Amino acid sequence: MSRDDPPGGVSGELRALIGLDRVIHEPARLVITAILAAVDRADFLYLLRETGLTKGNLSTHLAKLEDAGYVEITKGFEGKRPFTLCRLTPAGVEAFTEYRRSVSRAVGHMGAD
Amino acid sequence: MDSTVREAGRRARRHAYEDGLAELVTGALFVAVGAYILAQSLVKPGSVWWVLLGVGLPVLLLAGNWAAARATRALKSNISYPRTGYVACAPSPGQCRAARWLAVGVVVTLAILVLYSALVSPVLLGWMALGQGVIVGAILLMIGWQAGVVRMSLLASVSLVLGGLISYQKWDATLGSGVFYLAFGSVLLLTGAVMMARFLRANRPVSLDSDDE
Repeated sequence: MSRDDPPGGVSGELRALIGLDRVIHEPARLVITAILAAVDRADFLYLLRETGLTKGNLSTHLAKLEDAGYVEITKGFEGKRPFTLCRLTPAGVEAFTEYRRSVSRAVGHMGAD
Repeated sequence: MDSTVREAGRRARRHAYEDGLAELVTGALFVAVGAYILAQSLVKPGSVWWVLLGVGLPVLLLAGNWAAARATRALKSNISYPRTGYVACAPSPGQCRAARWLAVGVVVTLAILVLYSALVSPVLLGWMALGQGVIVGAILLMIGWQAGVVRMSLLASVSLVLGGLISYQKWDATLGSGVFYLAFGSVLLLTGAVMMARFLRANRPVSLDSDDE
């Protein structure tokens, strides 16, 4: 417990879990964000295959990430084939980095045994 | 979580080599270059045709690279992306630097070999094919390491062994180079065709028009 922690309360690192970004914290969106964090951009079909989500589910989660300003979605056509390209915005990258930092700190304080 | 993100990046890089297109297109380019160099080896050294063919090789390499890039893009758009999707990998600064240095190394080494073959004694020229095998193998190893594609390491070994075997024959350097590119290009075409057949069998085009929920 650090000096800033209230007496009798959990450590600051554990309390930080309560303030986790819930847009990213949802498992399906966490997987989508982790994939997009590792690449420059990916289309809908690639995300569909990598996540194993259904089309409707993936669309819904991508829309939520887009609404939060974390993902930029570009739609277009290549010949007759429609495509939907997704990429993390700078705000998305920052939010995901902060999320990873908070979770790593908290998990580090939990211990395995 | 860091390792998960790293693995997602490696999977994205591996995705580019799943369909065997890179090998097919590079193999076709190598076969063309090999046939060209073999044709040059049949012409009398110092003749007008020999000089013209020598001057034409860089043109073939540049035009071939341009055509290979366009062909890869077109084939990926029509065959691969409708089946497994599109992903563009984020270039990591360290890997970009390494790739740039490797490319510079390849160009400088080739230039030195060519200059040496033109100006100095042919003692080292007998090992030209081995040198090419090492360079091509190094490039393949780098790709295999970046993407985690095991068959690239196997192809690197084939390149090295092939270069060594051809050098051991003590053929003329031009003939040796021609045989190396022709033979290794054929190996690439073969592995590319096998990978493409497996890819097409395993992946059907996906329609994104209707929902499957």
